[in-house]
Amino acid sequence: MEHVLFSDAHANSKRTNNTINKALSLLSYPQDPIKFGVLIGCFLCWVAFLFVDHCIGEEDICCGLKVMEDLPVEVVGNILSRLGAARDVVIASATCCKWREAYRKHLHTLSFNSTDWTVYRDLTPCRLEILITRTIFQTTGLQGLSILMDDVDVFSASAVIAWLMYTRETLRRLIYNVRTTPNVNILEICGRQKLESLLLAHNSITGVEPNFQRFPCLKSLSLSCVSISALDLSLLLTACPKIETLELVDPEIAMSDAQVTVELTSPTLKSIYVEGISLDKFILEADSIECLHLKDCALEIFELIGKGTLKHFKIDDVSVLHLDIGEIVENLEIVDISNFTIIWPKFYQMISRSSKLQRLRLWDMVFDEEDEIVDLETIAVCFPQLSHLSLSYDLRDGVLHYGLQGSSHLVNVTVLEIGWIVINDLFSHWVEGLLERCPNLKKLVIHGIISEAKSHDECQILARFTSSIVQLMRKYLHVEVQFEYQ
Amino acid sequence: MSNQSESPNPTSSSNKITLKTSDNEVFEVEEAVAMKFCTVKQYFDDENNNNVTSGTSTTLIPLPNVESHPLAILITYCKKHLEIKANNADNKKEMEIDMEHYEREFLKNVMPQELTELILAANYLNFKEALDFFCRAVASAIQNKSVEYVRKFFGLESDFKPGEEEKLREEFAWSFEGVDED
Repeated sequence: MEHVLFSDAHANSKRTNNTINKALSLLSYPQDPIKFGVLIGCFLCWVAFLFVDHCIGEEDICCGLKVMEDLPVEVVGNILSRLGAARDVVIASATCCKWREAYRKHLHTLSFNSTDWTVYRDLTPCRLEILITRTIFQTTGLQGLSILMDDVDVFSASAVIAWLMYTRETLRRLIYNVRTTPNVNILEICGRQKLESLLLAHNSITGVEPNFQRFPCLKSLSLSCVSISALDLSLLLTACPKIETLELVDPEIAMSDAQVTVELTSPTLKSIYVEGISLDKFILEADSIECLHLKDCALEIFELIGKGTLKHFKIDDVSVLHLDIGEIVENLEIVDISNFTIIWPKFYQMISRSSKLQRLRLWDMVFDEEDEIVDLETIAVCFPQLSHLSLSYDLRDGVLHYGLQGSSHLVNVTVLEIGWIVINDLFSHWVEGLLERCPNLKKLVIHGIISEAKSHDECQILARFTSSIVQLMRKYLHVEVQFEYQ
Repeated sequence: MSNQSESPNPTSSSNKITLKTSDNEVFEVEEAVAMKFCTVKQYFDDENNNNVTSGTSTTLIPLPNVESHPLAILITYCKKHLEIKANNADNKKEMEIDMEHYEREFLKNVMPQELTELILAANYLNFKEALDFFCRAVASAIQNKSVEYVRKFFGLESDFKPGEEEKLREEFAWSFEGVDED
């Protein structure tokens, strides 16, 4: 049992003393048969170690300063992999034979990123291809490869194919963002291998055939400025049976017919982020989805079909005519809506059954109808676990009157963030009303926009607001107040 | 295995484990901390399997390859690591932020020579998180540095055959230019 710890050749000779001490200490308890057995064991180990020590010879036993030379070559490989940037790896591996060996046999991560080193920008694509090829071809067993060359227009397909073919059997993470000519079919090359995470940019994906092209291990897929047809996108998702995270940023979605529709289905998908997409219809069928984030999108119809697993729902600067996130949304914990034209009663109806809601953010909201008002009473009643509330929208007389009516307290709210788009005198009354309803508040954050050309009126409103907040907060000494102006 | 004569506090709670370093210092740590050191865990599990009937709670585990100085640092790091993990059990992002903050502060008090000692100790103890962190820290210290600087930093000496290094420098000429001044 002790050999696990004692087998290292560099063991300090003091270990022998340890064993002796241990044995001696046990001598005082010889009456216990178990301890006696242990004692015999210790003694035998001690004899064994003396023998080992003898074999190594005294000169090999390092008692003094431990230097880097003692490091196993795998650990050096780990250090080089943490370094990542190809140039630093090459330099460090030119120090001695052991580090060179670590580079060739134990390097698991390598990256060529234009942000790592400015000189990459001065090299021609052809030179870059050669240096990348040479550097990659001296490694074995790469698991992570990143090629992010922002200023390179295009790499030749043959070079890219060579890098991928050389590494594909061990590769788990691939990041690649340079266009290739002709196009490289990444699914064909890296499919049926170990790839777990793929970030692809500025390339196109065509002719997906999920029956024999698959990413059996892929968990995370991110496509940025990738041109793909709606059909191929849908097939691609089917070809990833373990996918959990999907990101689509500025995709160029080629459509076959007049109606622009994307339909995605995945039983394993947990998180989806979609940015910069413009479509007629987006249908997502995902039974395990927990996180849905849409940004800068223009959609006629967005529909989520699932089993009520959604926890985080975030939309930012999205225009959508028909939004449907499913009938059963009882598990929502975070709802974050900003820069959004909302039909509040309809939206409210959608989320009202989420009694587990912890964070609600309605920021820079525009209401579809004049008389729509978010009232605190319903928020307090429907979301008893709410702890973080953020509100920012235009204040009208009605907001103050109807928005604050009722008497239910938001007992769990500890952080309240409020903001104005255009400040008016109603704001401080609103703050006052909100504070009364949050008896356990710990922190209040006020976000304000101050226009550059401040009119006299505006300055006066701001001054009155400041005085009233100072006055008001005397009642709430335990609440931390923070102002963020822009 | 019972070893009461060496345990500083034999009646302490069952979840304490005693570690003894190569320079004969004794550390009593909580089981949760000790179990992050896979080498210790292995030893501990083996002991338990061999002594199921003994029912004793204190074990002394000798660490002949670890000195007290790096071990003390590793124990502190490990405790903090577990604490941050427990505080942010349901929020991975917050945990990462807290951990990053702690690690940044941690590095301010560590000398380069200590880092290599810590890597050796973490490697021997098979404490994965610490090993990764120290490797990252060491890596960031040699970013954009010359071959000579890296050698000096780690106390390495060139053992290439004649001509071998020149060949390397020629083949990877692109990478050796423009490094920071030593």
